[in-house]
Amino acid sequence: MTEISAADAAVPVVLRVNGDEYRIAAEPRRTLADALREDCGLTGTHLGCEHGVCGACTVLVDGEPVRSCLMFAVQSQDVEIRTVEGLAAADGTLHPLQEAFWRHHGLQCGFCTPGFLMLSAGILETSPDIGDEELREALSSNLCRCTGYQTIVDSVRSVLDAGEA
Amino acid sequence: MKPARFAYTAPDTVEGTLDALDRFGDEAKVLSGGQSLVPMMNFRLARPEVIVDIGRVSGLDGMSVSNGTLTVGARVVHSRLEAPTVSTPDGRSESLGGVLGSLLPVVARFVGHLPIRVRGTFGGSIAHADPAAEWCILARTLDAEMVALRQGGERTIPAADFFETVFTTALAAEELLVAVRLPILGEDWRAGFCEFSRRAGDFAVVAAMTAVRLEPATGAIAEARIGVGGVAGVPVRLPAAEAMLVGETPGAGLHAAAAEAAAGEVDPVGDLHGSAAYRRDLVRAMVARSLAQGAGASG
Ligand SMILES: Cc1cc2nc3c(=O)[nH]c(=O)nc-3n(C[C@H](O)[C@H](O)[C@H](O)COP(=O)(O)OP(=O)(O)OC[C@H]3O[C@@H](n4cnc5c(N)ncnc54)[C@H](O)[C@@H]3O)c2cc1C
Ligand code: FES
Ligand code: FES
Repeated sequence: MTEISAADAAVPVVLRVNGDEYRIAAEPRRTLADALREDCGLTGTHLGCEHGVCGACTVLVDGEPVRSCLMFAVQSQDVEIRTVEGLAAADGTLHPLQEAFWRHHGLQCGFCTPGFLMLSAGILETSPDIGDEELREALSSNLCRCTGYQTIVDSVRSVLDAGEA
Repeated sequence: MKPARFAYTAPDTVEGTLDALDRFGDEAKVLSGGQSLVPMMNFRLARPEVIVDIGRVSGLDGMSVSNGTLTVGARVVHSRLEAPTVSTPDGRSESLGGVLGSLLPVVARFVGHLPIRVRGTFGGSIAHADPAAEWCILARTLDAEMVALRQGGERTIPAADFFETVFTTALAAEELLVAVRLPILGEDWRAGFCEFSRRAGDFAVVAAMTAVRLEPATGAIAEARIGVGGVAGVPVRLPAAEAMLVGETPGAGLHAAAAEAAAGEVDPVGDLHGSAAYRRDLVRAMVARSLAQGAGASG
């Protein structure tokens, strides 16, 4: 019989985030998003809707953009997780995408930005040759209430065009 | 919101999964990609006592062809169907050609967004049974067969019997959907898929799939299938419109007549995404476009 974790007990969970190992204790119902924020102290990952629609919680799991509100921490143990905290270099030098969002006004209030940055980082790494139409479609995964999206498209396009992946 | 408490198990074999499902019955829910179940748990529309996570189970994510049938493992994620590959008997991997091979990527691009498609699974979509889900429409239109296992038994359920009503299938609580079998559609088939949604990535308001088999000698339609989602609790076939096509030669006039018949054959209920009359109009437009797409024309 496979092991069963009880509902009301926190179980030991090991998360690998941005190359660091976090040993936490989490109830099975703890989402990856909450584990990142509450247990790892990585509050850069934001939560908007908690049902998969807004994309504010987007992180990279094994290089692919996923909704961290739709995964449980207990499911996230044998994977490499990357969050917005991992984008800039250790000395604080911004990632090209962060530079581009700044230069092209890809953010206003900034609530959606970590999600858009991680979605874009995933696109940049997996589909560097993506066309304009496909890029717009891919970015339509996430919601932004401020910018009107065009500046976000411009930001990501500029990095893709510069080939700075 | 946050989900209610649940106990969690992640077996690494099919046997272990069937054990757990047998032991917990109605109290348990299978967790696959989580892209439908977890939103429902976060809303507390679903409160399973036990989650049986099948993410570690090996052998459920294969795709292979034999005897004119494509078998899609339940854990194949949507994004893999954007460029479907199958494993050959000698262990290589090759891209799936043919009519089904061209159709699957067209359909896959309509399923949610990129982050949904990299986690959500084909089998999860079939088991979830949203009446507007692309894969459910495809399964119903092509008369797919669902392969279900339970402890000590296997059965195959035809699509016509599988989808019972909204979010409800013939699967028992103890059963695991392991694979779906689809006809690969020989070169004499012409297939199309069209959907209307308010925003890219949303569930369809109405979607239609069509597939016709042409008589090689005459080019007349020998067999026709029209499946529509978003007009009833399950994806439906439209036999009267299908019958109109058989024996005829594809063309704009015929497609318009069949689309008109299709619009008359559905009995949609209006909701906040579209009134009954609007859905009927969409059926007409989606069926006509899908037939034209299959015939290689635009619009
Ligand atoms: C923002 C957003 C947009 C979306 N848009 C679309 C869309 O346009 N079209 C569309 O079709 N879908 C859409 N989806 C849903 C998505 O396609 C899901 O991936 C799919 O419906 C369920 O697959 P899953 O693997 O995530 O299943 P889960 O969410 O893990 O499970 C869904 C249900 O199926 C059951 N189940 C899963 N696998 C099995 C199995 N092997 N055997 C028995 N039972 C099983 C579960 O118990 C559960 O009841 C969207 C989701 C989101 C969050
Ligand atoms: S918080 Fe995860 S998608 Fe909105
Ligand atoms: S910048 Fe405010 S939500 Fe996008």
